[in-house]
Amino acid sequence: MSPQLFALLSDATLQTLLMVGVAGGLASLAGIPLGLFLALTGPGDLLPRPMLQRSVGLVVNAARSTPFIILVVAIVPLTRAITGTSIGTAAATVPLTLAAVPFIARVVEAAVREVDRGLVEAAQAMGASPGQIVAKVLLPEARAGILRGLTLAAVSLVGYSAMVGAVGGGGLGDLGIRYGYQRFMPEMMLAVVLILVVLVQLLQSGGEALARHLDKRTPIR
Amino acid sequence: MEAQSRGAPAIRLDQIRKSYAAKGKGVAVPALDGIDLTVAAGSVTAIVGPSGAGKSSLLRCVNLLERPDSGRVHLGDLELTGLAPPALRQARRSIGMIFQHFNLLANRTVAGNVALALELAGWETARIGPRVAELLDLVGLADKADRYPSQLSGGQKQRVGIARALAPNPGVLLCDEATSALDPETTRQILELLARINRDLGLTVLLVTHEMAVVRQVADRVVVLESGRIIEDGPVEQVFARPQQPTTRTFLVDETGAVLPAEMAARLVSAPVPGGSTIVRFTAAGPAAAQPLLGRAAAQAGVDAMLLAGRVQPLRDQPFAAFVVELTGSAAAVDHALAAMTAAGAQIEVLGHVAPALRAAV
Ligand SMILES: Nc1ncnc2c1ncn2[C@@H]1O[C@H](COP(=O)(O)OP(=O)(O)OP(=O)(O)O)[C@@H](O)[C@H]1O
Ligand SMILES: [Mg+2]
Repeated sequence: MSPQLFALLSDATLQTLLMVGVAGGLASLAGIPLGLFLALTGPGDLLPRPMLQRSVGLVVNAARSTPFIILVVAIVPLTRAITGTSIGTAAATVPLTLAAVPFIARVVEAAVREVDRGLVEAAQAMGASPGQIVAKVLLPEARAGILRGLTLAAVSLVGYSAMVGAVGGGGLGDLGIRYGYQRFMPEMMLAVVLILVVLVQLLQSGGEALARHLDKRTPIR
Repeated sequence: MEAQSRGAPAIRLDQIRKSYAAKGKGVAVPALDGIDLTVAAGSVTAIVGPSGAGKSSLLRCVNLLERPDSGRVHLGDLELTGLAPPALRQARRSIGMIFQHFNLLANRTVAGNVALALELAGWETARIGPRVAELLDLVGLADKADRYPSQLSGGQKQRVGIARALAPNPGVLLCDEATSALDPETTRQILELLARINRDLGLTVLLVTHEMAVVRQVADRVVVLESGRIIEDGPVEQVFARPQQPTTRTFLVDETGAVLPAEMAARLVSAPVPGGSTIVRFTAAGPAAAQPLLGRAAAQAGVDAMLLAGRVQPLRDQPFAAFVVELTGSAAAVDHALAAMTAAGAQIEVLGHVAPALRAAV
């Protein structure tokens, strides 16, 4: 492979990593609190606000059921308003973030709901306030589940980031389409796919290893 | 919280009512139906009763994990039911609670779990470490401080639960089926620990159990709950020796072992049979149980006594005897023997009579 192609590949990989990293980070900032909100405010939960919780839940579901490629196109005005353009890596980060937020919210909600209610009761019996319960019981006990959910989100983001490549988003997907498909360079296509496979593997095993390390529920390793 | 002087009420429940909305159907089932209960400081009170009687609901009303629909809960001089959330949280720190399934944080070490109670109670970090060490010492887990709950046995987990509950110096300890997930030997050790804590720290203990063995080993007083009402309440010796309610009797029989073998129960008749024998349940607590009362009374009356079931076991450091006995002799002699036993302090319940042929058959 020529050094020129190699440079293209490494640039594209960096762009993909940047998109996944920035979108994942921003989406976590919004998705984790949103997931916590969903887990805490349902009927019979710690801070019940059933009406609000249902409405937010509906919005989250609507966002999750919108096909990603439609989301990308639908929010072009928003993307322009934020990044000043609708193509390129920075622009692609906007729909990626937006798609990841509801996903992360749901996995965080699931992880928090997995925490044994008995622990919440024990904390209440010890005089814990709702804030203390979240900070000292729910989040620490759900951390492995949350991390596994974030790993899942990151892997999905790698896939989505390749998809935004198709609409000029930059990164490995873009490279694969432009060189591998349009200029018919099968070795480029193969290299892109291989890098994506390796990237997903690394994310998955890294996330899982960290989750296992944080998870003290069973002593068997 | 200062341990109150023994005898003063530590907990007072006034007319507690609680019903849960039945799912689907509109009718609410009353789980607690007007409970009045005063628990003396420094005592160990056991709440027993069949499944669904409302035991857990009652216990959870004490620290208001469950809010009664009506009625008042007092802790010492404080009316918990009248407190705003922050004041209630403050008050809960003087009520420790332990659970059937321990409810320990899996991602905190043993020491971390005990420390949690102190963090939640707002203790300064510097004071937490020494207090945790002190408690782990008390429950015999000093060497397990850095383990995670998943690395402990059930009994050890419950010890952590106890240490956690005691950490902020509560005056009251609530236990909901705290030994039900443990084997008999571990149960005995945990109960011993609870008894020691009650004795040494003067802690008021209110415990829920479905096992009379637990009551026998630790409680001063037993409260029998059925369908959300208190149906029997008294000192353990009294309730064991003279249970008033069928539910209480059923519970006791399992524990005392004084249960008539089924094949014999099937042949019982209510009227005396000439030449047959009389089946009685004999119960005695304290000195009456320590003497060879049964045999002596039978011998003096010229009655043949055969033990069918039962045993003598300790009840609050006193012997407690419960037997099912078959007495054979003339009706007058049997009456005489029974009168002698009753006079000596035993409780006699005539279960029925059997025909003579039966003796050979069984
Ligand atoms: N959260 C709840 N929602 C609806 N019904 C409940 C709830 N908790 C208890 N009940 C009902 O209230 C009654 C009393 O329940 P409770 O758990 O207090 O009984 P218990 O004596 O502790 O029984 P067990 O020995 O089985 O633990 C039962 O009929 C039960 O079904
Ligand atoms: Mg119960």
